[in-house]
Amino acid sequence: MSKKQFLKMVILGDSGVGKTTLLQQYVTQKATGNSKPTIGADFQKKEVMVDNQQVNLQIWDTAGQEKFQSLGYAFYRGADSCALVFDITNHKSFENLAMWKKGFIENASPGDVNTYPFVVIGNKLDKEVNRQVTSQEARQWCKDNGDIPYYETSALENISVDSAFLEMAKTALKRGTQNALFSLPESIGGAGGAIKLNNFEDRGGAGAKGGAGKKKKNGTCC
Amino acid sequence: MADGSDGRKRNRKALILIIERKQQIVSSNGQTSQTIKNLIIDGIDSDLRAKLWKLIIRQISRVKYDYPRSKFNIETKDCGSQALIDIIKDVPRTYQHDEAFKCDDTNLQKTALFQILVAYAITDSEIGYTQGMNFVAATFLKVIKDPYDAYLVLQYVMRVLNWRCVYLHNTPKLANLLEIVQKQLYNQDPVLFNHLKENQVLPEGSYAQFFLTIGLYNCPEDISFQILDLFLLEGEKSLIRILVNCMILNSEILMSFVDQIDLYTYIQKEMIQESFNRYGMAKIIQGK
Repeated sequence: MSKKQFLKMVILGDSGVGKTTLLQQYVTQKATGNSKPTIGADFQKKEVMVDNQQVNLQIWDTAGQEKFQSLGYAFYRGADSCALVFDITNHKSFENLAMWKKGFIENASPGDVNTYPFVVIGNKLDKEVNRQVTSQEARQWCKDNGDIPYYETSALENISVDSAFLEMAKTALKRGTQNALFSLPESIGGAGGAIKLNNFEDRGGAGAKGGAGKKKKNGTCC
Repeated sequence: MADGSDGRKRNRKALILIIERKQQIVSSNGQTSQTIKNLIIDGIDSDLRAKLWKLIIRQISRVKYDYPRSKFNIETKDCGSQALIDIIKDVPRTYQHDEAFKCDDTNLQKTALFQILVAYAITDSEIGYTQGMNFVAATFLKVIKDPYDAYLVLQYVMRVLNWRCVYLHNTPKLANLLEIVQKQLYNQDPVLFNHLKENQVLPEGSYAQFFLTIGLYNCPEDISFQILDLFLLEGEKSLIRILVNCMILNSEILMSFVDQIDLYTYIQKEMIQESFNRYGMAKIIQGK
């Protein structure tokens, strides 16, 4: 098995679309409706196997109210993938995806935007009867925005939640590997022999300083 | 500071006297009463809290005259549309574990929390409603019970303590508070400051929840009430002191974390509560 990887994921979208519930379902395999509104940001970790590789996910759940958008910018930097979430029963939340995507691109400095691992999630499939955004409309938006993978989920009923997060992890890993293969070294040290490469694994996925384990004494060396 | 049950009884008696005599809380030069502050730090009995809060706001402000009961407007038609949408979303997501706040789409507009938030939004169109205000207003309601009186405490906090700037678009006052915390931490515990910096722990991720909800987001009720007692008396400086001193008192624990997410989680969710349980309010205010 190869080295442990670290990936930073950011979840964006309007208030009340179900970002926290999605995360709750993904990380704890259970979800209750009406989770309290996220203030600032919340953080979760999950260890998963992706293509026979152990991956530590660090998932940043952000506040959805537009007033907090600039507060959230600080969290975007170094994200390896980004989920843009809307509520299929709320058309406005779908229309705002463009705003969230733009804010992310402007502040995360994600490199080549066309290959950046975005995933779009249309949540609340359990409220199909109240649907305001058709799958076709959402897929078209994803296509027009650089063929972004699209998932329809129900965080409450655990439909396609794992698949959406797995897709994020897979594409982020793939992009990371490609970046590591094609990018030039940032610097090569001299006499001290310190060599610092722009290596995806070594930088701990990006913004996150990698270290597993809760405390030093329990730390697992990667 | 009072020790043991005798001390507690003495404090209770002293506070009852202050409340009954409507004793001066703020002197002519703007200094808050050290006696009241000491009583709060020692911890006040919950049955006296509502009376103390009302006394504080009555003496420090004229908020009741500015916002009389006759103008406690809860007409949704007068509320900004975005504020109304956000309030409708958040009321059923506030303290849902508490029977008193349980509601759903069918009855949320009849709840006292909805009415307070709408009434506030009508008086402050620049803000309307910002998330975080729901927890603050709901807590005032828990203590004060009467919706209008709880609304007055909210107006006091927003206008007199100028907390509304925390909830303005792009949260300008919050940025300022985070900077103050960073500076104080740097001056008082540079090793800890550097440890957090090395682990890329952002103040926005660590402390924003604490300020935006006045400590209510992750603290149990008894602790958050105690924080609010002091906040109502002294305003933001009490919050800054509590946060910075909790960081420094827990420096050793914080230094033992080497994972960014673990640091965030501990600071946001555990540190304040653990500090109150381990050290108590008096030690936290006093510092290391």
